[in-house]
Formats: sequence, structure tokens, C-alpha cells
Amino acid sequence: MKWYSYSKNGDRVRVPLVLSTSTSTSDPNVASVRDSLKTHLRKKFCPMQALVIDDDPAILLMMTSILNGLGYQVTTAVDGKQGLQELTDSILPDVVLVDWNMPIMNGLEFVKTVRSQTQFNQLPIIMVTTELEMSQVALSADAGISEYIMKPFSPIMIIEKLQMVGVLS
Amino acid sequence: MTTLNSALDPQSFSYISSLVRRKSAIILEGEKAYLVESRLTPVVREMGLLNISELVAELQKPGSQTLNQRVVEAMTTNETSFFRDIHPFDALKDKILPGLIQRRSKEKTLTIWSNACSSGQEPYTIAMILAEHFPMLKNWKVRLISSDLSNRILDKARLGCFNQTEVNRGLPMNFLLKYFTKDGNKWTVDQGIRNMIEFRELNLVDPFPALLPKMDIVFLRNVLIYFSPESKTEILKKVHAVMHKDSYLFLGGSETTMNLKVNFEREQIGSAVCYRPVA
Ligand SMILES: C[S@@+](CC[C@H](N)C(=O)[O-])C[C@H]1O[C@@H](n2cnc3c(N)ncnc32)[C@H](O)[C@@H]1O
Repeated sequence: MKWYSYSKNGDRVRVPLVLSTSTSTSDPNVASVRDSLKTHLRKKFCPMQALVIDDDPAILLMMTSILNGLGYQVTTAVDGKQGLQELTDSILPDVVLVDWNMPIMNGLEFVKTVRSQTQFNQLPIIMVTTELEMSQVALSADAGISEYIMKPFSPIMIIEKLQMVGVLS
Repeated sequence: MTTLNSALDPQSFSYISSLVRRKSAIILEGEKAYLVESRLTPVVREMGLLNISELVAELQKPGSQTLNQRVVEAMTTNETSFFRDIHPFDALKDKILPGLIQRRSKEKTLTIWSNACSSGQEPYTIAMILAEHFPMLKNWKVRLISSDLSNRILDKARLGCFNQTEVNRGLPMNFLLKYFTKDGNKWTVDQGIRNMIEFRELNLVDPFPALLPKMDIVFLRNVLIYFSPESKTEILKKVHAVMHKDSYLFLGGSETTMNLKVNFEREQIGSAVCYRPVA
């Protein structure tokens, strides 16, 4: 069980829901009912959390709507510094989607800062950016991002990358 | 000035749909008339014709094989992506290839067939997995055969050149960095990866070439969905005949052998579903 406490925001408790898979079945119908039940329960009681950082309100809106549709609860921030604040103040998200070019603290600085802290070692971070050069992809890979999405993007591209970093089945 | 009128009359639709069915097995029901219109209007324009009924007249002239092929190709759907549906490729990497490599360690041969490969994302995905995770196969005779009915789309596949939308779909960052180079607004797969693939034209409705080797893994994804149950059955039987006993078949996410009289058994590998030939 995980317990999160927020200032001015009450408490949030996470209880992992284990549905037995020991009665493993080869019947595809039973398996698919079981899987959709699991997904349903998980979405209802323990939504995944995403932190989206972008200085463009239109992108924040679009990303929030895509992620909500996938069952995520979304927190947003408009620059890297605010993103860091969210990371330390709020619930640890399951995934971060971060823009590169932003005022105050850009996405690359954000990633470097996050990765310098061991408690965020495993946190999947996806860079979502208009930067398209290989050298830039390499730079952000070196900084420690998990995946890269080039703008403009469509919902399917987000879905595929979330699957790739292991936060969507 | 002439105005282009591509509106489709019932006779033209019925001619086109029977041509496409005969040549590719693709079924175009009545509600697909809009598709015929939108896909063939560019052909009409290219040929300097006025409408689809003029195109139908051209199709019936002797010596119009190329145009016939062009029309059939225009009616195919080429939607594809790298690592499409992801799970089959996890199964390939984690279970299927390690097992096959053990079982074929004497012969040191491995044959994989990516069918209806469209613009090549599927075979390139397989080739990158082989290069990345199975370097020991360098000393093996590995054949990665990749086929499609459409020569136009195969030409694109051979180039291995992809635009931003294409590399943005399902391609892991590490593979982009390792196996692609960027030139202008195009990303090209490295020659080494391209050399691993044999692209060839093959129509699933035709008898398979006699020299087709026995397959260890067959990808036949997102193509049977366009065919009638009879065509599906016939094609799956032909595929069965070129598969090794202990081989694997992948179909698309919405495709199954259920309700078809074919000898395949469904097997779940991790989150992937594949089909194993039975006698
Ligand atoms: C939707 S794409 C599938 C691409 C890839 N297999 C995938 O799953 O992403 C369908 C492809 O099937 C090809 N096709 C359609 N009819 C065919 C036939 N009779 N024989 C061979 N290929 C065919 C089309 O040319 C097209 O490239």
C-alpha cells in the first residue's frame, strides 16, 4: 500500500489490486474478460498519473485530453522548474512527458536534473519536441530520456510510446 | 476547359470490384464506392481521362496489363508502422528466436517471411531485432523474405526511406539513433539492415513460387482482413504448406483462424497470439 499526503489536497491511498491469475486459462474468452475487468478496476480505483510539461497551453490541453482518454490523471506544468516542483511536491507520476524548448528551465535541463536524483532513476520520461536532428535526439538520450516523440504528434504516437516505456498495455 | 468528373456509375464500380477481387482477393462491397472514387481519381487524372468509366474502358483494351495492375495497387491499403502492435515482436525476441536458434543450431539456417509487407516497416523491425539482439546469427544463413503484391509499395520499401510521421510511429529512439541516418526531412535505414532483406513481388492469390524455402516464422498481418473466408482459407493452406512443423505464424490483431477449416493451433506467448501448424 502507498500513502500520499498533499498539502491542501488531502490524502491519497494506493492499494495494489491483485486479481489472481493462478487459475490460468487457455480459453481466450475467459482470459479477455479477465483482462478487461482488470483494466476496468484499475482505471476506476487506481488511475495512472502523468506529468505533462509544456509552455504551449494548446499542447497541454491536447495531451491532457489524450491521456485522460487512456485513463490517466494528468498534472501539468509550464516549464522545467515548475515540473521539478510538481515532481517533489506531488504524487510520483507513472510517466513524464516533457517539451524541450521552454522558458526558465528547458526540457533538457529538467531531464538532467531529474536523472541526477537517484529516486527518479526508474521514472519513464518522454521528450515531446519540435527538435528533429539526430544530434538532438542523441543529446536527450544521453541526458537520460526513455523515449522521443517529434511534434506534431497524433494520439496513436503517444499510445505507442507509452506502451514502449511500459506504462500502457 | 474540361472538368474532371470522377463520380462512379454502378457498372464501373462492379467492373472495378470484380477486377480487384480477381487480381488480389480484396473484396470491395457496395459501401466501398467512395473508396474506389477517392483512390482512382488520381489515376484518372494521371491518364488524362475524364472519369472512372473512361478508365474502365481503358482497362478493357488489349495491352493494358500495367494499367490493370496500377488500379489494383491503388485499391490496396498500405497502412503500417514499425513495431506494429508491439507484442509479436516481444514474443519474437524473448521466446521464439531464442528457441529456434537452439533448435536450428546444427543447420544454422533461419527463414522468416514478412508477407504483405507494404512500405517495409515490418521487415525492417524484424531485421533490427535480429541485428540488435542476436549477433550470433551473423554466421548463420538467415533469410528475411519480404513480399507484397504492389510493386510501387515495394519500391518504397526497398529505399528504406521514411518521413517524420513514419519514424514517429512505434520506432524506439535507440533504434532510430543506431540504424538510421537523417538527410533533410527523411530518415534512411542503414545499408547493413537493408541488405538483410530480400524484397520480392508476390501475390497471395497466385500459386506460391516453387522455390520458396520452408519458413520458420511467417508474418501475415493485416491483409487477410480484406479477403473472403474462402480466400483466407485457401491462402492459409498454402502458407501452412511452406511452414516447418515447429514454426510460428503471426496474424494481425483483428485476424484469427477461427471458423476457417485450416490446421493451425492458437498459442499465447506473453501478450502475443500466434498460430502453430498442426498436421
Ligand atoms: C495494411 S497493409 C499491412 C502491412 C503489414 N503487414 C502490417 O501489418 O503492418 C496490407 C498490404 O497487403 C498488400 N496486399 C493486398 N492484397 C494482397 C495480395 N493478394 N497479395 C499480397 N499482398 C497483398 C497490400 O499491397 C498492402 O501493402
